[in-house]
Amino acid sequence: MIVKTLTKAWTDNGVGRRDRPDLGHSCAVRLSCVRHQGGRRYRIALLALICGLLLAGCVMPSAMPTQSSSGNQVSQSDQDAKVEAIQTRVAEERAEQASNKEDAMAESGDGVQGQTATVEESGAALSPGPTAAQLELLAKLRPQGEAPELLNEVWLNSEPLKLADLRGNVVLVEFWTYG
Amino acid sequence: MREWHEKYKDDGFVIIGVHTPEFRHERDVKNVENSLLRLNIDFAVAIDNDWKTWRSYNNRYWPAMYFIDKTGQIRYLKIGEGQYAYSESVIQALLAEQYTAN
Repeated sequence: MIVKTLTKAWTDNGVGRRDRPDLGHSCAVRLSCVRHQGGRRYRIALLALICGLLLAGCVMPSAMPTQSSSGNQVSQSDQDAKVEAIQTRVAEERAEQASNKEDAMAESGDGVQGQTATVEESGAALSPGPTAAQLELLAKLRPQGEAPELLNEVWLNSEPLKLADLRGNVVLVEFWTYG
Repeated sequence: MREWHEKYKDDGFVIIGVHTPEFRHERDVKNVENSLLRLNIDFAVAIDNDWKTWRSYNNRYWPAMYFIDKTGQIRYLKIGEGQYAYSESVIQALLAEQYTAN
């Protein structure tokens, strides 16, 4: 039925466009364009509605039994069963946690060894040398030519510096003006 | 900038501010000195009143930062403000780079 409606809407749209000889050519084209968009919107809305209905149809059957069995007595027993199930699960989880703790206690000797291993590893990571991410960045920062020497004689906060004397250092030269 | 100076100066990182004046009053070294005090800047600042260094860098912008690696090569040029996190990661990477003196 929905499909029929949809097809009808579609055909109506098309027929409506062609069956207006009273309209001028450009006007008809303009109108048909507007209408076309309107029709499309209409179709999309319909499709969305159908999809929604189908989805609801899929979801509802699973939800139905609980709704149908929503008599007072049944729901009461349902709730009781649920509470029981939750209590059992909590008890099980507690037992599991306790046993895990015991395991952890038993393995504490191994734990200490594991810790020292981690410390050794991090020590290796601290040794000089760029990280993988830094290597990647450095590969992107291609040399753009040797930095021109600084040619100034008047300096503040320092004796005159020369880049040539600063090899082995990373230097940031910033041109600025206080104004 | 000041933060980077404090943070990395002991790791082989040197900041050099090249003060190239745009207007006449900025040529007065005393004014620059006062601004350093005011801004609490204690890294080295070259007074480039005759635009010598500016010209040798072929620079066009304030501010412009040239990041120079341990071998003296320009590796990154940052024009204008902003992107400080990225610039700092550039400094860290350049500091981590291996260097063997010739």
